Amino acid sequence: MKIRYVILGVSVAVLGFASAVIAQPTESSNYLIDEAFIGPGGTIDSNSTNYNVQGSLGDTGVGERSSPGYNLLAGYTTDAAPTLIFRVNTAVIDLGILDAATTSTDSATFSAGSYNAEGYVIQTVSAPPTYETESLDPITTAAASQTGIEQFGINLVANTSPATFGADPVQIPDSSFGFGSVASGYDTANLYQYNQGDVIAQSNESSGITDYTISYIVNISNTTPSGEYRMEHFMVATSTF
Amino acid sequence: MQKPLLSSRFGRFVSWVQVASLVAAMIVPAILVTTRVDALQVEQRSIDISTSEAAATGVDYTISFDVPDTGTENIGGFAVEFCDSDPLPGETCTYDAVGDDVPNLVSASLQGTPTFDGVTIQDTGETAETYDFALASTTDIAADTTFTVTLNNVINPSNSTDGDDNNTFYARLYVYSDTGLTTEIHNGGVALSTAAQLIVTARVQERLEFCVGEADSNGSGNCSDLTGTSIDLGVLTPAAANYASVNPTGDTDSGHVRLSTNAFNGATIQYYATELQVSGATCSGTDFTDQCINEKGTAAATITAAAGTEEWGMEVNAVTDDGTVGGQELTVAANYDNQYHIVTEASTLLASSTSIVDNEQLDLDFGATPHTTTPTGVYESTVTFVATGTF
Repeated sequence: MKIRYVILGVSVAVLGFASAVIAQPTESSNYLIDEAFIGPGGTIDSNSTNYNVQGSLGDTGVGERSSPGYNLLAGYTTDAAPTLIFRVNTAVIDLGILDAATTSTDSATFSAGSYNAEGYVIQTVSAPPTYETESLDPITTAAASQTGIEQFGINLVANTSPATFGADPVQIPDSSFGFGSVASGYDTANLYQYNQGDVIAQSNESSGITDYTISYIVNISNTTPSGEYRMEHFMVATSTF
Repeated sequence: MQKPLLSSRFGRFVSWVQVASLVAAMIVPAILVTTRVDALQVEQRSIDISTSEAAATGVDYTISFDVPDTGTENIGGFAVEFCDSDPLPGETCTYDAVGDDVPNLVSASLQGTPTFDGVTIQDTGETAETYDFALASTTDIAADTTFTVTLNNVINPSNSTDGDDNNTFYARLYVYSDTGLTTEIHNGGVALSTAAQLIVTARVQERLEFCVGEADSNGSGNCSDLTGTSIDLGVLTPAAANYASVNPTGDTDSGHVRLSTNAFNGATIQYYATELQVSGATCSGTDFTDQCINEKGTAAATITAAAGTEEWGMEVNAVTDDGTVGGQELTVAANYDNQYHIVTEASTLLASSTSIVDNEQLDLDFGATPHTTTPTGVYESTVTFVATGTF
């Protein structure tokens, strides 16, 4: 008799497994699993209009961490929802009183990451510094800083010329989590460029946080019109999910 | 003694259940796979916003995603729903307020007349956090098809409640099988973010470099080339006019004025000339017998040396552009443009520009002729030049 019940139990279990196989991975109006997991504990995130289940086993430090300086998705169990993290660390970049014989430099930082995505791009969408109708001439093709001619440019890497400033992107917590990179034209030390609308940073896959540093340079000529030049530098992060 | 497994009625029942279970285990997956009508997730989902500036108006939101072809299935419309809580379709959409942590769609409108699978996408309008796009008629796509529209005049979230412009918000994308947007068949989520701005400031000081000299060494192309202040017209005779540039005594230096300025709204060069006179004399302005040489009041290409004539004047015979900015910025006043003319005891315009002046030089010449009754003596005039920039 015990054998019969065992066989019956196994048969029902087989039926159950068979159904489970087609649901991995699967999605419907009632059920969605779209995140794979390999590890000693934890569950994938399952959600529907009726329920949302997340579980973890023996996992500490789970979830999203954030502060004004960073934001991190960590642990076995993370949110399956599309996530875009884009944080520009507010700053006033005061390049001071410009002089035709000297290059003015400064830097600022921002962070980006996207989760459950196919990556992201960061575009710079603002015009170069402008005073009334006059804009500082942007460097449209990556080039070195040159005093005496009007130039406005940026890059996102560490530089040694015309000064030691800037920094390479930093993956948070390390390069096994963050995959953001600097776009072509902005990725070579000591070469600067600026084109309104350019993609300046990107990731081609889901990525943890990448901290970027923008290095700004300005040169003027003797005929650069006087005035206070101002740029409200906006960047746009777009992620494809 | 134990009976054989299949010998009892219950045992046979159990056996049939086993067989049925195994058969079901083989068949059910196929049934599920072939009959399941899924709400698939739309792929390649993105919303590209034209600026991340918090509270910005007139923002363009370009919404794009691929609608999967699942066979025979009508597509009738689309909707985008903005939430601050999460991007999960069907979940409760929460936010502080429209315009606060989700975009304000009140003034938004569909850009152009886009189509989906050849069918016009209609601007069905907004309802709080949701914007609808009904197709003019349903369509059954033959392959995965991209839906792309741009919403104009969206107002970005102001983030006034949270006070942090680095604000992630979400959009849920819905695909409906009917043009009334009642039967949802596919969906997906997108994350967006406004962001703080970086303020870049730089100041360029007002600059005006102006110099006057008798001689030009033509060395550096700047003020260091100009030297001297005394322009000698030689010994004047009624027989012919004397010119500084052709002075028979050998001093042919005739004067130069150089200007370089970043005055954005232009610059002027004016001069103030005293009478050409013997020191201490009183000038009538018209007599030929006083110790003064009269002005050349009518501009002309030459100084007229004729009986009954006494005059002196100044001309600009060339403008040298030593700057890097293309084109000549300074315009010489008509009376002095390769013409001799002079006004004394009054500030008078010599040249002007409506923009910055990039290192340009006026090359001057002076000419004079006396009347037969002009008294002897050393005649001298001091000409002072003034450059004024309008910044």
